[in-house]
Parts: sequence; C-alpha cells; structure tokens
Amino acid sequence: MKTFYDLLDTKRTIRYCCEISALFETVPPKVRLEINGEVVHDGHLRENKIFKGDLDPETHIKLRITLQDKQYNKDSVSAVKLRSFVVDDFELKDQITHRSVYEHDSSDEHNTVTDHIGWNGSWQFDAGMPFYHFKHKVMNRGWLISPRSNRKPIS
Amino acid sequence: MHMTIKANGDMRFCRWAQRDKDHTSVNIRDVDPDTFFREHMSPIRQTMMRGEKYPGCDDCIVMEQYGKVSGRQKQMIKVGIDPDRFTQSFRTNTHVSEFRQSAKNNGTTDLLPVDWQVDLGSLCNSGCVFCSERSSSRLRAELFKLGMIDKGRVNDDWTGDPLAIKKFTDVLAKTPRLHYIHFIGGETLMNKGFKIILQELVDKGINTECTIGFTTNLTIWDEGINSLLKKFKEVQVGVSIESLSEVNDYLRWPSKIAEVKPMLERYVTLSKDNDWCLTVRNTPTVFSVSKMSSLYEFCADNKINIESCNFLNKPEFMRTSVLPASIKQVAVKSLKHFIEKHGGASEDKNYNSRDRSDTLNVLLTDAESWVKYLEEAPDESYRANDLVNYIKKLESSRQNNILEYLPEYENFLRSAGY
Repeated sequence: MKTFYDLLDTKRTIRYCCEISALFETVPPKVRLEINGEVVHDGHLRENKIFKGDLDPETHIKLRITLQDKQYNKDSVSAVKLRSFVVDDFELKDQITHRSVYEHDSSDEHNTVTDHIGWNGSWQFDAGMPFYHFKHKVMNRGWLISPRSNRKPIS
Repeated sequence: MHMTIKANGDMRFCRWAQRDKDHTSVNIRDVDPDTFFREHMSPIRQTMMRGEKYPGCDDCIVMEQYGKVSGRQKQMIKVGIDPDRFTQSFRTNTHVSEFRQSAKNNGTTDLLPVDWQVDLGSLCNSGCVFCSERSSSRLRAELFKLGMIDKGRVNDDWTGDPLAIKKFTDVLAKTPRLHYIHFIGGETLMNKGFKIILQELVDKGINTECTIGFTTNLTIWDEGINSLLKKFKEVQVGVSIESLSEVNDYLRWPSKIAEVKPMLERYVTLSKDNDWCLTVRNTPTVFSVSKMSSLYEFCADNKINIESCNFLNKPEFMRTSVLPASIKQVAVKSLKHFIEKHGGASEDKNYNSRDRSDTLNVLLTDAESWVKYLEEAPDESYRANDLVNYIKKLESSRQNNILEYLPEYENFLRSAGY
C-alpha cells in the first residue's frame, strides 16, 4: 500500500493463531471453538491443537470455548485449556483471561479467572471493540480520541 | 485533530513541524484558527493522502530512525493507529470516516482541532544556551546587545493582542470535543495570556472536559494559576530541567540548580496531591547528554516520566552529534549502565510516553534511543567551531565559563578554538 487512498479502499485481514489443549484420562473432551463467530472446531479434542486463520480487523474480537456432554462420573479430569491466542503477532491470552465470562453447570461457585474449562458450559471473551482498539487499551496507550461529540458547542 | 500556534501567532499544522520547511503557516491575527485548520491545511492533508512525505516532517522521521518515540507516533496512537502495524490498523482508527470525507473534499474537513500546542509568546526570564531569540525575550535582548541579531526588543507575542486571544478561545468554545491544550512560553507562567485563557475556559465551562498541559522552567510558582488549574479535568505538568548538577546553571542560565531543585520538589508534591501527571521535559544537547543518566535515575526513583525533546534541530552546533568520539563514549557508557542496571526496555515499545504505570520502560526506551543516536548518527564535529564561537560570545556577556562546569570538555573545546 502506498497511499492513504489505497488504505481506505482496501480491505485487509489480520492473522490469528489459537492453541487449545485437551486434558483427560479416559474420555477426551467434546469442544466447540468459535473465533469471531466462526466455528473452527466442533468435536472431541484428543491433543493440543492449533487453529490459524484470518480476522477482519473492523469486527469486534470474540472467542468462545464450549465444553459439551462431559460425564463427570466417567472422567472428572476431562477439560480443555486455552494455551494461547495470538492476533497479529500479539499474545492476547493473559489479557483476555481475566476479562472472560464462564457460564457452566456446576452448582459450586467457580467464578475465579481461568483458562481451564472443565465444567460443561461456555467460556467466552468479547472485547466489545476492534482488535487494535483493544490492543491500545491493554497496552495503556492513553487517550483514544473520537470525533464523535458528547458536548454541545458553546454558542 | 492537532495544530499549533507559535509565539508570534503563526499557526502551523504540527508542533513538531520544521519552521523553515512549512509554507502553509499564517498568523492568527490574519486568519481564524478554524479556517486555517479546515482549509489552509488541506494541501498538507492531500500530500499525505497521496503517500508523499511532507517536507516539515523530517524531525519525526529522524527520531523514528533511532528508535525514539516521535510526535507523529504519539499522535497516531491517539486515534488508535498502531505505529508497528500501520497498514493493518489504519482502517479501524477512530477518525477513518473523517479521513474518507476529507479525501473526497480535497483535504478540507469540517472538524476542529481537539489537540493543541500553544506557544503563548517569548516573554521569558531564562536565556537557555540552546534556545532561540524567537522563544526567549531575555536571550533576544542579550543576542542583540552582543550584535548577533538585528532586532532586540521586538515583542510580537500574539497573546498581547486581546482580539487574537478571543479568536482562539472562540474556536475552543465551539469545538465539540476539545481534548488537550498544552501551553508553553517563553516561560508559560510569566505570560499573562495563560491566566486569561485558563479563566476563559473555566468561565465557558470547558474546564471539566479538557486536559491542560503546560511547561515551566521551575523558576516561578503562581498560587493563582495553580488554583485555576485545579478546576480542570486533568493537568499535565512539564518541568524543564537538563541536569540535577550545576551544569544546569550554565544551560538554563541564569537559574540556579540550588533554587530549581526545591521548586521541582514543590511541583512533584503539587502533582501528587492533585493526581496531575508530571513529566520532565529536557532538551539534550552537547553539554547535557553526558549527565543525562543521573536525571533518568532521579526520574526512575521518583516515578517521573521523561519526554526529552527531539534530536536537536537548531542550533545545529548544540547537537550531541557534534561531540568527539571520546565524550560520546563516556555518555554512551553512562546511559548503558542505567539501561543495564534496570534490565533494558521491553520489546513492546511503549509509545505512550506519559504512561505512569510503565515509567521505567518509558525512561529506558528514551535512554536507548539516545545511545543509538550517539553511536550511529552522522558525525557533525565540524560544527564544533560554531559551538565555541557562540558560547564564547554568550560567556562574555554572562561572565561564566563552561569549563567550570564541564572540565572534562577542555580538550574538545580548546581544539575548537575555546
């Protein structure tokens, strides 16, 4: 790209790389992984797996991991763990784990920050903003000035 | 988003723009700031949109070349552009719709600037050796007396003109989302326009939404201005100091470090008490670069960020690249000691030089850029004669002697005619 005109007219994508791992003794976990609404894996997970793809940088960044059909009496260990989520060469895992929401079927309180999904249910992260805005936020880059007004001009 | 007004009222597209290469500048007495921003700046926007380098932007390009965070990069992050990922992040910048609109309308915009640097005038009680007659009334008078410039007592400060102040505050009042105004002088606190403008902003109710920044030379304390500043949403205090040693007396003449240090402590306390952000704003030169590590250490100990000025553009003979290799090596060794002691800067460069949660990294990044510059910038030792000629004239008026402050510079300066 040579000019701003080109940049304004050309849609670009950014690379992601997401790694999850399976933890189990006898029954591999059944896992559904969605990245920005796209299902990239749905089924039993028997090993570490790396998923690579492209994202539209204008969309809000989202990650959802669902553990399904776990039978606690057959294999209580069976779980999935988020190892890494790299977007455009930027490791997001530590930044998104404590911003995640985990809804599961345990009657106990398990609200602590985790990257370990061992209860049937859904762990998800939604940045609520495009990737580069989120990166700006987590890197503490200061003001993000928007031209949209929330003050009426003084006449 | 950004524009600046210089001491004489000339408006420019950027506070870092090189004066002699910026041909769009007009004076606030002749043109309203909103017209300048919306219309006069359109050729600059068009040049940039075409992907061409604008001539006045060289300083930032040099800074980036040596790993120093440039003004260009500081402005980029304010709209969400990642300087390390420019092409990828451009489309999600907060002003992308306005870019499109401007591109369709020959570079014009209906926005107003929300980020200002305002030079109030040249009235100043200091005659810093690296300053210019345009920015210091004291230095101007001295240089005139020495026969080094033609005009000695020209006062063309734009803030002396009430109509110009009104033009400025009128634009601020109609700016929908005014964000930041940074004031400098001369010496900011000596300029009556500072208080007038602050009061005007308070009277218009803009203070609750706007951050004020100002830079002071640590010679003046004004309770009235401090009280006014406390009414603003956020305050950023820039304090100018080159070294904690007595060489500061020579560089920021005629201030005395024995008086400047207690004043620095007062500003540190004031800032802590009011949750203001205080940064050191130094101007590294041929005479201070070898003493900089002690300033970094002081800032690291006190959790104060440094925003050192760019690699000096003018006067050229004060640039650190004028130093001989032997003195450069001493400076590099001292800076490297500071860097290694604290483990080096993070690989993820912090472009937010005011990030108070990452002060050490900000300091280390700045120190590393100075090391790179000292080691790699083209040698300019041929300017040493100009340096010596200049300081000899100043010293004849000031009755001081650089070697009393920097005896280790004797061989260097003597060989250049000192």
